[in-house]
This record gives sequence, C-alpha cells and structure tokens, in this order.
Amino acid sequence: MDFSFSDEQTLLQDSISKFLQNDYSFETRQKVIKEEAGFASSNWQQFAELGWLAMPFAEADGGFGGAAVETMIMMEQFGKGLVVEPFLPTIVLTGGALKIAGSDAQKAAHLPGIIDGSTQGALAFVEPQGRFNLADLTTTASKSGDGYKISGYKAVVLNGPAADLLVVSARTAGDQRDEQGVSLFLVPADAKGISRRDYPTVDALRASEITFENVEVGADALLGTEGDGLAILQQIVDDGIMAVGAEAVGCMEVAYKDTVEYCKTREQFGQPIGKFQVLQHRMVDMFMEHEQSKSLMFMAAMRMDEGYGAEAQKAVSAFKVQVGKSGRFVGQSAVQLHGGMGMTEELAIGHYFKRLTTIDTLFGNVDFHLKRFGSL
Amino acid sequence: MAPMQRQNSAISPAFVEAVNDFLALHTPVADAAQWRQAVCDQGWAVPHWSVGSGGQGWSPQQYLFWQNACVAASAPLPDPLTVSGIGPMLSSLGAQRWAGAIAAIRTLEERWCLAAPDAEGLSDQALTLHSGRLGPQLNGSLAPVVGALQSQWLLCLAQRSVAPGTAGPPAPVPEPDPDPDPDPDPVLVAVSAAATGLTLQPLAMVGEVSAGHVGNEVLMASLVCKDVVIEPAAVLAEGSAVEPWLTTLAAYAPALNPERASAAALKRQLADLLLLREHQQETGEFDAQGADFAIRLSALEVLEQRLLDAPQSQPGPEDSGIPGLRMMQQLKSLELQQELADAQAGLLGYYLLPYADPGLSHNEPAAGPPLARERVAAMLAGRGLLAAHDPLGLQIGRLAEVLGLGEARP
Repeated sequence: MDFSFSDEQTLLQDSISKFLQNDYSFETRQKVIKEEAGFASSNWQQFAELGWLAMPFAEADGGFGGAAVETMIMMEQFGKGLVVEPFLPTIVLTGGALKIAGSDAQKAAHLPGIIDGSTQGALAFVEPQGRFNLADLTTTASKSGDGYKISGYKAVVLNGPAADLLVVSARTAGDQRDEQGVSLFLVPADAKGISRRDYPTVDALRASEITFENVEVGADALLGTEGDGLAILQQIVDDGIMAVGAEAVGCMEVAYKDTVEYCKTREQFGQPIGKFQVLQHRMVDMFMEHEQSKSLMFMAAMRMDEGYGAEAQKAVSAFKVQVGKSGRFVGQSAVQLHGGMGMTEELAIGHYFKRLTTIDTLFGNVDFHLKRFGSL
Repeated sequence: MAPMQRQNSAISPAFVEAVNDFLALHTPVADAAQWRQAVCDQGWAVPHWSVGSGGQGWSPQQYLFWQNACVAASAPLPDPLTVSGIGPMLSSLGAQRWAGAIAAIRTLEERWCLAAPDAEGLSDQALTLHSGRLGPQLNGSLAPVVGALQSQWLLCLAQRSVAPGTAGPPAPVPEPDPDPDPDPDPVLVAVSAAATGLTLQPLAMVGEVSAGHVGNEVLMASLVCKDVVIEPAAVLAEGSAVEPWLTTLAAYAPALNPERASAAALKRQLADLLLLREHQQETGEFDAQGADFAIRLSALEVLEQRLLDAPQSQPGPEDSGIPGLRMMQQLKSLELQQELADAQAGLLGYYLLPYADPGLSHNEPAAGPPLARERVAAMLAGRGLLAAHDPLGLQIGRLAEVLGLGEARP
C-alpha cells in the first residue's frame, strides 16, 4: 500500500491546518456557535474562495475532481478544529447526492450555488421510527400531475435551519420497510407545506424536525429513477460515514495530545499525574485507538476510491465500527483524565468528547455496522 | 489525483508471479527438510539480506509479501530471531569473525534462541558469568527458554559476577556496598547448545500431553549451566551495549513470529475459528464477535503496511515516522492472538474439558472431536508462549516511555 499524499493533497491539508491555526481557535469557535445559523457565513465564504467547497465535484461541474481521499484529508483537519461550518450536510451529503445521481440539468441548477457558497443543503432521511434503517419510511411521495406530492416527517435534519435545498427520501411504492419503492427528491426548503422546528444539537451544530404537508414538486425534482433510490441513499450515507469518521480521527488526535499535555502539568500527590503508571497505560491505549482508527480510515478511503461496491461498503462499516468504539474510549478517557474540568464548557476537551459521542450515532452505531459488516 | 492506493509499487507483478510459482511447486509441504532445501536452492533462505551478505536484497515490502504467502500456504518460515535478528547482529559485530556462524544461518543449518528472562536482565533468574580456572564460566539456571530444543546456539543474557575463589587463598569478605549498583554489568554471550556443562530439559506445556505423547514441537525448555566455559570472543556485547541489542532482538520474539503473529497468520486463525463455529453450529451472538475480529485484523494489516511505508532511520523496533507504531503493532497482534484463542475455547463449550492424562486415560485420546483436542492443546501452548513473552506486562510501559508520556513539561 502507498500512503503518501500528492503535492496537491499535501497543500490542501496544510492550507486547512493554517486556517485552523490562524483563524479558528477554540475561543473563536465558541463565538461562532452562538451565531443564529450556528456557523459563520464569513468562514463559509472563505471556504468557497479557497476552493474547498469545490473539491469533491467533477471538473466538468466546476469542481476539482477530488475523491474520498480528499474528503478524508479535509474532514480530518476539520475534526481537529471542531469546525462547525456545514461541510458535511451541504457538500458531502447534498452535493454528494447530486454528484452520484443528479441529471445534467439538476447539477447545472444546483451545484454552482453549492460550490460558490450561496446555497446551503441538508439531507432529510431520518425518521423517528426508523433508527438506522434507511428503508424504514413513512414519508410518502404520491404522483400529482406530472410531479409528486410529499407528505411526512423527517427528524434530526442536520443544517436544516440554514438549508436552501433539501434532499428528501420518500416512499413512492411498497410497504414501510420495503427496500424497493424508495425515491429521492430535491425540494426547495421554502416550498409551500414545509414547516420546521429548529434546534441546537448537543455538539453545537444545528438541526431541524421537518414536517411535509402535501409539498408539491415537479418531475424534475426526482433524483435518479423512481423506486430505486435506496442504493443512491446508501452511497450518500457511506460518503457521509467516511467524512464523519475522518472528522472523528482528527478529534481523537487532539483529545489524546491535549490529554498528554494536561497530564504533564497537572500535579497531584507532589508530581505531574502523567507519572502515574496507570494513567500512562490509559494514554497508551488512547494512542493505539487513534492509530487503529487511522489505519481503517486509510483502508476505507482507498476502497471507496477504487470503486463503490460491497468491498467498499464493508471497509466503510469496518471504519465506522472502529471509530465508534475508539471515539467513545478516547473521548471518555480524555474527560476522565482531565477530571471534573473535562466536562466544563470552558475547556475544549469536553467538546471533543461530545462530538465523538454524537459521531458514533450518526449513520449507524457500532452494533449496527457490525451487523452490516457481517452481512456483506 | 490520488497516489494513496492499495497497490504497492515496490512489488512488481513479476515478483508476485515468481513467489506464487515457487509455492505452487513446493507446497503443501510434506517434508520440512525438503522444503528448507528447496528454499535454499532457490536462494531465498535469507532473501532480505543484502546481496553481498548472501541474500537477494529484497525490500521490507517484498519480504513481507513472501512471509505472508508462506503463512497462507502453511509453509514454514525460517526462525525470525535467527535470520532477522541474530544473523544481522553477528554481521555488524564482525562478519569475518563470525563468518562460520553467519554461513550456517544463511543455509538454515543452524538456529539460535535467546535465553534472557527480561530485557533489563534484572531478574533473580539471570545467569552469571564469572572468571574461573579455565577462563570465563557461565553458571545458573533459567526457565522457560523458548525454542532452545530446536536451536544449535543460545544467546544468553548473563550478569558478570565475582565468584567465590576456586584457587589460591580465600578471597576476603567484601564490605557491604553502601550504595549497591542496581544495574549489575550485563553481558550477551553466545553458547553452543552442545557445550559441556549445559543441559536443556524439555518442559511439557499444560494440555500438551495427550495419550502419553508430548506435543510435536516442544516449545520450551529449562536451561541449566554448570561451569560452561566461554571463549572471550563469545561475549558479543556488554554493559550499556546490551540493552539496545535486547530491544532490537525483542522484535523477533517467538510470540511475534510471523507464523503466529502476522496479520496473515491471524487471518488463518480467524478462518479456523469460523470453521469451528460452523462445525459447532453456532450462530447469532458469534456473528458480531467474528465481525469484530475481522475488522481489527484489517486494522492490523494496514498497520503492517504503514510500518513498511514509513522511513526507517535506524534498525530496531521503532520506526522514525511515528514513534510507538511498531510496538503498537506487537501489542495489538498479541492481544488478537489471545482473544482468538479464547474465542476458540469458548466455541468448544464442554469439550474444552476432556484431557488425556497418560496415567488415567489408558492411552486413549481425550474424549470429544479431534478438532477440539487439537485446539485445546494449541490454545494452552499459545497462552504459555504469550505469557513467556511479556510476563510482567512491561511492553505497555515501554510504549509509554517511547511516547514520552511520563516526561514532565520542561
């Protein structure tokens, strides 16, 4: 295996690292999360100007032709800085849906706005009863003239409050849990019949509960083929897993290093607590969990870039399992070794712990992905 | 845009074909001696040595590929401690002086083992080297010594000491040292297994005895040295030079032998486990456990590759790219070995219990399916090997040092 980055990839990594160092301290981030949208639009514009929003899209669509490795590089850096700007929901999930299944007309209509930062997106696919089963849908899309009428309810839609464009999964045929009959639609967030309840999440992001009441959309809103949307949705979600997994790897690195530094300075019983063997062993375990996750991150990114299929899906599930277990361990250990201060707002470590905890749940937890891995 | 890829440019299709062709011709291995001869005739006994030293100059990636292919084909590999640890050590200490020993290693005629209780050599079990009438002499006992019965040479860790006088007037009783040196002078000494005064007794592993026979390969022995004469030239290292060598050689410990510890070997163990599961008709709960093992094995595989990819600035268990990664590989491999063995035991259920004690079983094999008996023996022997490798669990403490975890902030 070859683990080296190209010059462009190294440049990408370095540019994000510099941005975090110069413009995204923990204190800055704490101010950003208090903004109405939950992120700074000035930062988003800067991302657009730096070309980061264009990275994953084909050159023909105005992008830079990046693949899973580029997304991995970016999200790992974002994880280190606990970046809250909505790269995942807008670029990876919404932009990803268009990249995978959008027609030329759909791409032309929506990608330029996503790439230049003027359009925000959100993937509305979770339902309260469905847990991690993508096919478990009560939201329906029934034929209405040439188009469709969408009715239903979507939960925990990340970036819902800021979204201009929604990608919505709905059932066009079949029973509630049938794998056939799932379709995806591009829906303007301000369409008539949509109502939202917006809220902050425990890890300082923003999400919405969205109700759809006979929301009318045209035939051109359908992504891909009617009834065959589950496979597309699965691929979008697997891209999402790659992204949040890489973000978690970045979080773990900082959580581990911050903990090591803390243990070198905090004194108890007349010496730095890092001298106690039992704590050293805990930190060794944190180091190993982070490196395990990193190894599987490389494997998953390589497999995804070789072509999306069962092997790539297996690698992604393996990565998610590892990140779930390791993230929980590293986050919890980091808090534990910081003592009570670890769970205060003023120290960064508690925020890393929260993000690692929520990432375990996103797109399926450890148990879910162990089963999925075993079934593939 | 992405050079990061699974294809390794260090391994050419021609190389892969050559290895596969060789294994197709010579495996499955029916006769270990014939296999060794075939490997030597091919010039692949020590292919990772430089051409000037009699090897093929293979890269670490090529050598790992070869090792993994042999493991997958159940073809025995030469002892890593001998060919990758001690052979290069002797070359660096004086290729001329040790030409005979190096040649014997190169042709796989001789094997070495390490007789050292632990890397710091501070165990009360250490051998002692003192001056006697006939020159330096080795005395003491040590158990267990892994691989001793299969070896022609032992590299022994000993402490220099002043022995009670064997000739002349009695030595004066020394004054108690008010500030005793906690680190007695260690030495590494090369000793022939056939040396006069050296005895090796096989140690039967728990569960290895079956129907009156000790297991096919006796892994451990107890070593007793009584006035074993040591040539001065046989002292390979002493004092502060000893620890770095022990650290280097620790990477080739039997518990870390690629036949047991590599990702390829563990994959085979997992496949074995899944076969056992099928045989036992176990379903449900084990699915998650099997998936978990497979995932951790994938991580180990990638880690092996990452270590090969990192620049090596010096020999030893640490790569300069990410300190601690090699030790982590060892720890994770050992962890998986233990857990896979435990999982096998779990699957055996009640058939973990039957034991063919020769005195009580009337020479009948233990009750239960043959595959259960084999696995019990392998599991128990493996447990002994792992325990011998790191009895005090010091490895994790050493990794903490490498990571600089205990250092105070300047």
